Amino acid sequence: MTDFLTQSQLGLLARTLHVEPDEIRSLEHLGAAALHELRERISNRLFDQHAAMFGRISKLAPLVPNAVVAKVSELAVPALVAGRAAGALGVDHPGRIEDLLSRLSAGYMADCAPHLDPRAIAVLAPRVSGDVLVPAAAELMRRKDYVTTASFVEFATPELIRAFERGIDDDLGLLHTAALTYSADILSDVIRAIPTARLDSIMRSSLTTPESIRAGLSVLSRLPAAQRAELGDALVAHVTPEVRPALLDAVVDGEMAGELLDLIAVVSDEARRVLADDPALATDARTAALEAAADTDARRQALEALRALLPA
Amino acid sequence: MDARATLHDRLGRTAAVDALSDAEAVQVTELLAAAERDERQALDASIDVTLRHLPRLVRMPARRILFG
Repeated sequence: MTDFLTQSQLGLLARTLHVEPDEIRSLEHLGAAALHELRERISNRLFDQHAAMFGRISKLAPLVPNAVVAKVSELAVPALVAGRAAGALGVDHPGRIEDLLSRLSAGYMADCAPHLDPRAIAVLAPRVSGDVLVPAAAELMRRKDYVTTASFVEFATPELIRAFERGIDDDLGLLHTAALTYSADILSDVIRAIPTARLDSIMRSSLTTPESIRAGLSVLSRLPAAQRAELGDALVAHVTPEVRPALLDAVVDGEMAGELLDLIAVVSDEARRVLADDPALATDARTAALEAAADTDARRQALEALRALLPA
Repeated sequence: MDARATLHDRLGRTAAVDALSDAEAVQVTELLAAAERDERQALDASIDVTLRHLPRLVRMPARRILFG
């Protein structure tokens, strides 16, 4: 099963090349880092080919007030073009970007978002308030376009993260966005900016479906040990006897036994007892999966710790 | 110039391109060329349509700025 990061980077590359992911599925073997590099270089080239024309369009800005720009854009400019142009124009006229965006519909902004130049997002994100961006982010969540929301998280300020957290009540949307966030450092910073109560709610929601269980484990596995331990304890606090079989099935089916062992390695003894208190852990499939995944000293020790707590 | 060399030329030297198979390098080269062409055409078409929607007073100065 392809890991979340490789999946999201393949999706981003496919979108950059205007094709469906299946058309470039064979490139999965490159892995997340190489796909990220390839997509970044291709994206830069596609944007840079328009630089001269965007420079000329930018000179029109003094002639056209924001109200007209917004109206004409939604009426006549396809999202691909608007997205491509918006970054360049925003960088040239940063003082106008907040007011202009506030005049666009959330739907149109969500249409354009996938086509923005990541280099421009980095420059513009600090200049735009959450009030303006949250409706578009909520629309992207509604569309389940987590590849786009994750690409924006890379550039979100702590203030924007807090605004998104307050304005978006979709726990699973935030979880899947986190799972597809490329930089582990940024992922850690983003999680640090989210209130504890909300993180607890997201951890509880992560136990809802096999896909969300895998997303949650993927996020936890990429965090520093101390942060993983804290969130891991929060996750396991919601693991009931009814939920535990689904968690273990998702781990085995999703080939995430290694991630589970990474979690067991750092959580509290109480959390380990909750995970171990399941006779089904002794089944062949689950035992085999855990043993196969115990490929480091830390994982082997975690497996031994789990075994010591298994019901007799 | 083979596909891999073309990609190095257009994207800069990168290990990601080196890791592509020959067939994949051809595929990515072709997809990149198609994306460049499609985006140029989309931008050109969009400019024409947008100019028609601008207020009349702005249209002529806008055309001069864009096309000289």
